[in-house]
Amino acid sequence: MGEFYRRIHYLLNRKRLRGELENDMAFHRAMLSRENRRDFGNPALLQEKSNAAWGWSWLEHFFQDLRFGARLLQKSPGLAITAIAVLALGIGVNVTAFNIVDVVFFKPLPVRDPQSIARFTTRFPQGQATEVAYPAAVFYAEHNTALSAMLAQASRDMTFTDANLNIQAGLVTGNYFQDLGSSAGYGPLFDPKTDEAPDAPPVAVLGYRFWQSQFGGDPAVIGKTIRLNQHPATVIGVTAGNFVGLDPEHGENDAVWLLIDKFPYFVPESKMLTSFRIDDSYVQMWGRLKPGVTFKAAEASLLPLAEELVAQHPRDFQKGEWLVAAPGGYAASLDPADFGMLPMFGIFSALVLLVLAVACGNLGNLVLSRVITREREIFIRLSLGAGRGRVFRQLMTESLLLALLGSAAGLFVSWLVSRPLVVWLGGAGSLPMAPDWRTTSFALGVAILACVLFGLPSARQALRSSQRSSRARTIFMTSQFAASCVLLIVSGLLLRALHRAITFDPGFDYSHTLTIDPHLEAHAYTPEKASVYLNDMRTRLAQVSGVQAVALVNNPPLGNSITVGTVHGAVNFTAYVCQITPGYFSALSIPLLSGRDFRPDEQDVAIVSQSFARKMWPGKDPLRQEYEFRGKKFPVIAVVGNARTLALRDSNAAEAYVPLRNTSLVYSSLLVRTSVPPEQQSAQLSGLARAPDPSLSPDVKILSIAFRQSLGDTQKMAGVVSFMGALALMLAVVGLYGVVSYNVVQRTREIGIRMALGATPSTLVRGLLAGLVRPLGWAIALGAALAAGLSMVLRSELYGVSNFDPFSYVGAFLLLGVTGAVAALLPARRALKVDPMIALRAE
Amino acid sequence: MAKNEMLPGTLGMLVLRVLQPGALHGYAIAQRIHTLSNDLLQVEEGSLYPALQRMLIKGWVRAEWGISETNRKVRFYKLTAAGRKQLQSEMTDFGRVLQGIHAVLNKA
Repeated sequence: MGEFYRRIHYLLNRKRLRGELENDMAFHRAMLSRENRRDFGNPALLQEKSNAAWGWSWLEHFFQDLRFGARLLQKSPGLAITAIAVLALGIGVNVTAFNIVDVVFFKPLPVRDPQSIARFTTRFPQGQATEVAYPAAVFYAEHNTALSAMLAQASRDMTFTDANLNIQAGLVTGNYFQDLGSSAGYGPLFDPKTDEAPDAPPVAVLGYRFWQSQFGGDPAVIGKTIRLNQHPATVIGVTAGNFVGLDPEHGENDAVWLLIDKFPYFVPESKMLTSFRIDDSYVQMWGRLKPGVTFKAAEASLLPLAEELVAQHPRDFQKGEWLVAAPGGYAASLDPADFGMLPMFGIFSALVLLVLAVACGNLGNLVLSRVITREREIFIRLSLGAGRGRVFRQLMTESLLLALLGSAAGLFVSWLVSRPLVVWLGGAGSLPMAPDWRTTSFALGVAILACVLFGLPSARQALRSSQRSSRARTIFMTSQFAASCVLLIVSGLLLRALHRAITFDPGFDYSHTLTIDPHLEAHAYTPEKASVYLNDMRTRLAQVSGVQAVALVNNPPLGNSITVGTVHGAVNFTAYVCQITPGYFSALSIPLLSGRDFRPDEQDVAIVSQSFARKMWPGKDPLRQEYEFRGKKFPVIAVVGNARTLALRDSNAAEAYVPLRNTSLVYSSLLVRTSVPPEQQSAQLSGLARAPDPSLSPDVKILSIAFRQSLGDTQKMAGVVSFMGALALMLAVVGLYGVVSYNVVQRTREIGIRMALGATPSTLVRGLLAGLVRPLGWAIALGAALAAGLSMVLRSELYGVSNFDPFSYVGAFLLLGVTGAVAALLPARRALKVDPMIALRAE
Repeated sequence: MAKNEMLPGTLGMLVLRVLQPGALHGYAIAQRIHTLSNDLLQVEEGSLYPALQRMLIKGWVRAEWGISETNRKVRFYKLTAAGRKQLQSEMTDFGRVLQGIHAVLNKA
């Protein structure tokens, strides 16, 4: 310890201590010369030896090299700026991707003590749900020993009666804001003591954005009364502009915050407080762990309570149902259920790393050219006795300096683009996006990796003084083109998929149809009440001019709710199941291939699509088969055309239809086919759907618009990857241009001689480019192989385009070939303008 | 081995030993070793300084400002408690080695 301390002390005071030592030695020499003796030794060497004894020379050399590197960069600012810009792009792409992952998965939410928050989700013996029934959550809160507080949050559709506007209301427990330490924008937020009392007047907190848009950000709104679902409530406060809460994705869209306990006041039929059925009262549940309690321990302590609930309410819970705890203080918890997206995540990481590889290859060539121009300097250093290791370290330090500067620039770029990118990708823009220590260390790590990738080959080249630099150059060139090739092929595949998606026939007519989802379940309708409403609606709709067909369906086309099941037929496949009423097929123009449509009030029969029949019963007559639905066997009465209403992208999908069940009525949407352009009719239909019950907030969806939106994900992905591909191509082409130009300059003399001896222009150009053909061929082959491997993972996103799609591959090859040829020929042509006499005199 | 060269590794011990009576500056240390050895041992005097640095690191000696006989500010090196202990153990070790060498030389 003492020795370490003394070394640190020396490091901090080295200037003074060195002066003192020098003084000692000067004194010594002075005394020696007084006696006419001069066997002191080499003072400079001894001084260095003495300093080295303290063990800090490496650090000093590092800073020396850094200073020297900085001076070199200052001397050639053009090169410095180019290099930093190239790296900023390559590293920036990586850092941005990491930052987004960091924000979503690893950065704690801006709430009080996020580490002690556990998120609870339901596990069934088969399957899982992200929510918990609210009365069950209250039961857990009251009886557990592991949690100091329970927090719940849910979102429900409501009508803001004052503006006749459909809004999403956030429902929370009274302790939610206080426990999370959220500060208000104006006024107070909920206080569990006063606001949750049974006789407390109904109060509301406005979401910041809603307050801005509806009340013009006027603080005087506090104390005023607003009406929600026609019920008055007093505004007590406004959330802060940067409020995020525990569920940013929903919370961001919550216009108004209400207390869960007061929800029945706004929706009298709601069973939110009474029903243990998850469908009636689903909320998201979090718990504040008591000090020292782990997630596993909390989970274990809730287990007996779960068993008690199952025993008390056997009809509402599944046997063996329980809650799992996961860290809750993050925008998204890493749930094993999400691991399905890991391959996708992997491919994306690979693509971003390829951009880095291109940037490094590009920079490698730059650095290499510079090292070669410094050959003389390095030679002098070596002959003056500098160790090879010392020179190597110096060159690497210079590269590191570049890498660090580029990385800092990349970090800055990512700070600029992270938020817009997250919003564009459909994420929560309210999350704090500034790079934290994780992202910063990642940027540092990437800088070191980049430094090794572009600096190491150049530094080694410099010390291998005699050889020509072609090998390192070839490697840099090949890697740039191979990586660009992968990116171009993958973006080609995605663009092809997009084109396929826009032009392919989904099997149903979405251009003349709209759906009305009245959200009956959100307003606690019973099946009977729903049946009355839906029948009423059907009569009303039938009288609207232009309406040609009306049907009911539980999973409306292009909607978010889907029912899938894996079916074990001749091959295993995913079946998308819809519950429908007669008229569904004609409303969507799905052709009836054989058999007949359902009859009104007919139950326990099934209709399947052509591809379902082919996969389930190959070579057999489907009309003689039975379809098993929830344990019952329904005879198949018809076969219809394939219609990808629920899975546009899944070319492997197959559909099955059964008559709408009574229990599904509250989840049903109305499907309307109209001869009038749907855009003109949606407002009228929305009003119509509200007529029987003004408290409803129906969603009218025009299918043609929904269809275009559903392509958005693929569109965005294609956009991002194409951008990276274009970036990579640009860097690679500029790199190639540089290499050929350099060759021309280097070989001016040789070209001159050849010209003087009568070489034709074409032979000369061929001679210049001959060395490039083979590496570029390798690059393309390597890139194609890599792209083929990576795109296996992408298949589900490709709308049925094969991942070996020849157009994408050939297109990428052509693009690379043509741009590469142009980039190489332009500088090569300059060689032809060389005047032999001048060239020969050049040296 | 020339007569005035030192056994390797002994310089440190000699420095510690001449510092035992009291603090000395670098030149004086070299002088003392020189005279005490009856001019038999001669150091390349500069190599004293790297050795002194190592002893500073180990904490065997401390450097303090003082005034030389020629009235010049110079550092004096002073033995610490750890240095005394180190000297003791080095002398014991060295004595044992010498004894061994002697024994072999006399009996063989």
